[in-house]
Amino acid sequence: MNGYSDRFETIFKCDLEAVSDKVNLCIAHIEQSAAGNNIGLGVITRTKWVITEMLTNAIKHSDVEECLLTIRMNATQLLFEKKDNGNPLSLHRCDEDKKIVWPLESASFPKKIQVSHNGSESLWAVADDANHVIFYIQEIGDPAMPALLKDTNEHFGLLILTKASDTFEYHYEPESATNRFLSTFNLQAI
Amino acid sequence: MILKTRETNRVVMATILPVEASLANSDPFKEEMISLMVQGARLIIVSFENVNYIDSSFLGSLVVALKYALPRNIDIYLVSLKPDVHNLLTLIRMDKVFKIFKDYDEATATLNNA
Repeated sequence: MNGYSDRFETIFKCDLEAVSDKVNLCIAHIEQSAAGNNIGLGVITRTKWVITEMLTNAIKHSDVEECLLTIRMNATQLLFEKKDNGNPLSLHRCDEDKKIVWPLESASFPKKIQVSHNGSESLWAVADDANHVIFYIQEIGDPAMPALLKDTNEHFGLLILTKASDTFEYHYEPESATNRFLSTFNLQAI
Repeated sequence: MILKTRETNRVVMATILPVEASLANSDPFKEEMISLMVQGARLIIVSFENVNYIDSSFLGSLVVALKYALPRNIDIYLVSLKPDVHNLLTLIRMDKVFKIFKDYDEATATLNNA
């Protein structure tokens, strides 16, 4: 990927006990690389949430022994990527009550998929082809108590990844059966 | 053991002991919370005073505990949340689902005023 002056790679062995150390290693690198730039505590906090969720997902869902973590950064963007050759992304589609697995089998794109809905906001995935999807949140209202207990439970991880990132997306590379989860943070937005 | 508990008149003060509330301890946390309710708690005040960060798995267990509590007229309050933990709950709107107080004293004051 072009335009990123700083690049850091590390392997994560999918071990629960190693999550915290790996998160701290990544955050330390970001803080060190950003020295002198006003990256902001908010971005650090959000990045920490994202890395934690990505590593937890690797352990819970990927069924691999390790994955590759890459951090790229320039003056305006921070990008965190998790790459593995494990199970491709699968989601429970709440609007049709069925499970979908990547690569998608569909004749028409873009395809909008409602992942979760709690009465006050919906988590959507928009697939622009069979192998790429971007997640976003649709705010619906602000009731006193959203119906979070209905169906959001299974999707807290995706919700955190989507809301904490400025852009959260997934790529599936069929030739190599590689999964790439990418989270982007706009540093100029601080 | 994930929780250190103290019970007075079916009100349980439950302090989460680990610094990281995560997938590593989310299942035992859920089991201990449900066990407290089975034993007769009418209110569990969960203190996050030791917790530096929380992940989606632990949040899931917290919600499972609340789902167990609600039909049984049991309350779950959260207290002493550090900013990062509170901000994550706010991010996914869990702050509107749980009753959150600054500390144990503020939480128990609501009982005295009831």
